[in-house]
Amino acid sequence: MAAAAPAKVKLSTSEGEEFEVENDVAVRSVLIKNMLEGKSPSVLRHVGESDQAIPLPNVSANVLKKVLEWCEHHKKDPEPLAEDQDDTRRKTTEISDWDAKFIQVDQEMLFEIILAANYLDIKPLLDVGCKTVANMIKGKQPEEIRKLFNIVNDFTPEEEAQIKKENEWAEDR
Amino acid sequence: MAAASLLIPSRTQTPEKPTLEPLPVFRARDDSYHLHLTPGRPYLTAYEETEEDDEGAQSDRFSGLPLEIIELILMELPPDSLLSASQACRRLRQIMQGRRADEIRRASRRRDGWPDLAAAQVTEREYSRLITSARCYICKGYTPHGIYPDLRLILCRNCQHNWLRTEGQIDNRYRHIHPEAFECAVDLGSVDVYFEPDVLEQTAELCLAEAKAILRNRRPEEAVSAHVDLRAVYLVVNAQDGQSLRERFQDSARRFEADVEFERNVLLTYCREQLVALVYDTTDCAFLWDDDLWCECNSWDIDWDEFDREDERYRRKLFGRDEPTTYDGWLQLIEECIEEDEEDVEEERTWLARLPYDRADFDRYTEWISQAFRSRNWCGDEEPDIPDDVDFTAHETCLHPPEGLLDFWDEQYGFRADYKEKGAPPFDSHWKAYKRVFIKLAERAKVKRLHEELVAAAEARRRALKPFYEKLSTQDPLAARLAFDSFSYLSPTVTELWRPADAQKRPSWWTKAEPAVLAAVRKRVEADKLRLFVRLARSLFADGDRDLPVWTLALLRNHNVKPTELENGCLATTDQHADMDEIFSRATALFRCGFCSSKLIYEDLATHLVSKHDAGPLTAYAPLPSVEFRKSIRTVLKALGLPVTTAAASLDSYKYEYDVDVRAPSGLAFRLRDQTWEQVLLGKTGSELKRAWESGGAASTDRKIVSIRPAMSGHVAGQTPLPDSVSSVR
Repeated sequence: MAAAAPAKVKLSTSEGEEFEVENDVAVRSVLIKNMLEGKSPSVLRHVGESDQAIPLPNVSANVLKKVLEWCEHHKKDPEPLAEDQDDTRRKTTEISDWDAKFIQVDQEMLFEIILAANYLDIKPLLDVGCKTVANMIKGKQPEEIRKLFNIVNDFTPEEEAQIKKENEWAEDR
Repeated sequence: MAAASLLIPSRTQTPEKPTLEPLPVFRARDDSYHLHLTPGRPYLTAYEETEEDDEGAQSDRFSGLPLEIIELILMELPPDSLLSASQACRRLRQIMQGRRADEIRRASRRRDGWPDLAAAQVTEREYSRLITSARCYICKGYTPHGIYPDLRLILCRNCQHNWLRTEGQIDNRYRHIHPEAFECAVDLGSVDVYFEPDVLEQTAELCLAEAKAILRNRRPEEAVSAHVDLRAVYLVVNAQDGQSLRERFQDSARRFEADVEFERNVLLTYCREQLVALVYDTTDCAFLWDDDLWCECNSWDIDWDEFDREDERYRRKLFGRDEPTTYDGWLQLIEECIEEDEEDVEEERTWLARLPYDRADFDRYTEWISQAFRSRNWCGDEEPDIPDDVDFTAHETCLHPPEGLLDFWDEQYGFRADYKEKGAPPFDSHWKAYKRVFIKLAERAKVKRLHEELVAAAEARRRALKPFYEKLSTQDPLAARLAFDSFSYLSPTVTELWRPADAQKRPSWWTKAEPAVLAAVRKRVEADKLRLFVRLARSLFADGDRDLPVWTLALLRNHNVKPTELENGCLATTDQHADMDEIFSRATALFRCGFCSSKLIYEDLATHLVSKHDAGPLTAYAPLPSVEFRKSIRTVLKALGLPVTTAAASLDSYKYEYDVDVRAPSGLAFRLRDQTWEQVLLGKTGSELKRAWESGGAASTDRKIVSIRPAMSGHVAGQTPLPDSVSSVR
C-alpha cells in the first residue's frame, strides 16, 4: 500500500464540492497525509488506487479554500520533529506577517478555520488561529471579552458576588 | 525549646492589662485575600475538580469551541488575561477550576517566561496579582513603592513604613511576641526586617501549636520545634523562589526601560527629521537627546516673547549692531564667504569686473591694510568684534517636561500597534505640539554653532595669515610693501578680502572676512606660483642655463625627481616668495595672458590680469613660451654678443627690430618683418595692433613664434650696426 502517492489529490467538502490539489499541499494535513500513506485503511483503503475524492464532511468549501491557501503558502515549510513539536509551538509567540494577514478574517471564519485545522490536524495553522484568538483576549476585562465574542454572562448573582469578592484586589488592573 | 516555655508563664504573670500601643489601622483580609504563607493550606483555586457540565455552554462561537481548543487558546494567554477570561462565563470559569487548570496556568507562565513557584504557597490569582497589580496590597493606594517577592507583596511607602519593622521594633510593640516567631517568619534581607503581620501570624501559629499540644497532653516544645522545622524548609524554598522572582522583575524592568528608551528615540528621531527638513543641521538638533531636555526649570507658561528677545540679544551681541540686521542677512554673508566653488569664483570675477580697481587702488589698499593690520595686531589674539562672552546657557537646551508624554502617546496612538506593525509614525500631532519649542531650540543651537564656527574661523585665519603679516610688520616698509605686492598681485582673489565697497571705512569688515577663502586663496597662490616657478626653472635648465640658484639646480639635476616632488622640494627649500623672484625676473615676456594671449613678463601679467580682465587666479593658465622661441631669443642674444639675460627691460633697451617667423594656430607659417621688441612681446604686428586699437578689443593672436632674428632690413638709427654674422642666424 506504500505505492507512490499521486501528484494530485481530490478533496470533497461537506457540500460535495471537489477540490483537486497537489500532493505537497494536501499533506500539510496530517489527517490527509495518513490517509495517503495508508495509515487509515479503514477510512480510505483505495485512495491511492483510484481517483476517488477524500471526503471531508466537517469542512465547508469556503473554509477548505482558505485552509488550502494556507497549505499552499506553507507547503515548503520543514515539518517539525515530533518530539519538540510541542516545545516549538510554545516558544513561538509571534505570528508571521503572512499568517497575520491570512488570518484577518471575520470571527465566524476564524473559528471555522480553527475547527478545520483541528479536524484536519494541521498544528501550525491551529496555533496561528489560537494565538490570534488569544491576542484578541489579551489585556481585556471579562466584560470586554463577553462583548467581543458575544458571550452571555451566565453567572448567578451568588457567583457574581463570589467573583467580585475574589477580585477585590484585582480591580485596580 | 526553652523559648516556648517562657511564653505561657509570661502571659500569666502579667495580671494587669498592659498599655499597648494602639495598632495601626490594618484591614483584616478575607480568605481570598490571604497570602497563605503558612504551609499546608489548600490552594484556593486549583485542585478542586469540578465536573464540567454543558449547561453553561453558549451559543456563541467561542464558548462552543471544543474543550481542547479552548485550552489551547487559554494557554496562549498571560496570567492576568487568563484570570479575566475565567470570569467571562461559567464555562470558562469551570475550565479554569477544572483538572487541567494548573496545566494551563503553568503553560501560560512558562510561555511568558515566568518561573514556576516551587514553594507555591501562593495561589495563581495571587501570583497574577503580584506580577500585574499596580496597587498597594494593604491600603490599595495607587502609589506602589516596593515589591517584595519573598512576601509576594506590593507596598506603598506608607504601608511599608507601617508594616516592615525590625525584630526589635516588633518585639517592643507586642510585648508577648513568641520567641520563635522570628525564626518562622520571612526575613527580608540581612537587616532583620520583617513584615509585621507575618510575624504576628507565626506567633499565633506557634501559640496554637503549643495549645493543641497541651490539649493533647503533649509537650508544647515538641510542637513548636516541629513547626519551626517545617517553616525552615519553607523559608529556604521561599527564598529561592523570591530570588527567582526578583530576577524576573529586574529583567522586566530592564526590558521596560529599553522599550521606553526605544520609543523615546523613535519620537526624537522623527522630530529631528522634521527639523532637518526645515534646513537645520543635524548637529543643531542634538539638544533633543540631551538628558536635561525635559527638565523642570522651564514651564509652558514661559514668556516666549522674552525668549525671543533673549535670542535677539544673542544675535546683536554676536553680530554687532551695524552688521546685517537680519539673521538671514548674516547667514547669507557667512555662506557667501564659505562657498568657494568655481561658480562663486566666476561670480567674483564678474563682480570684480565692475569695480574701478587699478594699480593705484591696490596701492592705497596696501597702505591701508598694512596700517590696519599693525593697529589691529593681527599676530595677536584680540578680535574685539567677535564676542566670546555670549551667554548661551540660560534655558539653552531645556524644555518643559512633556507630562505623561509616553503614556499619552501610547494611549492615543497605540505606539506598539501603529508604529511597529503598520510602520506609520504616529507623531505628527506631537511634532505639531512641540514644534515651536523645537524650532526655537534648533535655531538657538544653530546660532551658537555659527558663532563657534566664526570664532574658530577667525582663529584659523589669524594662523594662516600670520607669516604674511609678520612680513608686513617688518621694519623696512619697502620690504613689507613688496611682500604684499607679491602676495596680492599673484592672487587677484585676495581682493575678496575687501569685497564691501566701503570696506576701507569699516575695518570691522576685515575681521569678518572668511578665513577659509583666504586660506584657500593663499594655498592656491602658493601652488600656482610654485608650479610656474618649477616650469620656468626646468625650462631654463633645459635651455642650458646653469646659472640658477644652487638649491634649484640641486633639485633639477636629480633626474628621478618627479614634478610634484620638485614642487614640494621647492616648497621645502624656499620659505619666502622672494627666494623664487630671481628665477621669475629672468623670464622675459614669456607668459601669455589667459584671456587675450598678450605676452608679458610674469609680474606684469599678474597685474594685467587684474587690471585689464579683473581676472581670478588665472596665473597658472599663462603658458610658457615655446621652446623654439626661447632657443631663438637665446641664439639672437648670443649672436649679438650680448649677455644672455632675458629680462624684458634688457631686450627692450637694445632697440633692434626683428624678423619673426610665426606659425598661426591654423598651421600657416609666415614671417613678420621689422618687429619692435614690444610687438614681439605683444604677439601682434603693427597693423594688428592698429586694428585692435580701432576695434577697442584685444583680439587674440595666439601664434607660435618659431624663430627670431635681427631684421635684415636694418636697424634703428643710432644703434650699433649688426655684425655680418647675425644676418644668417636663425
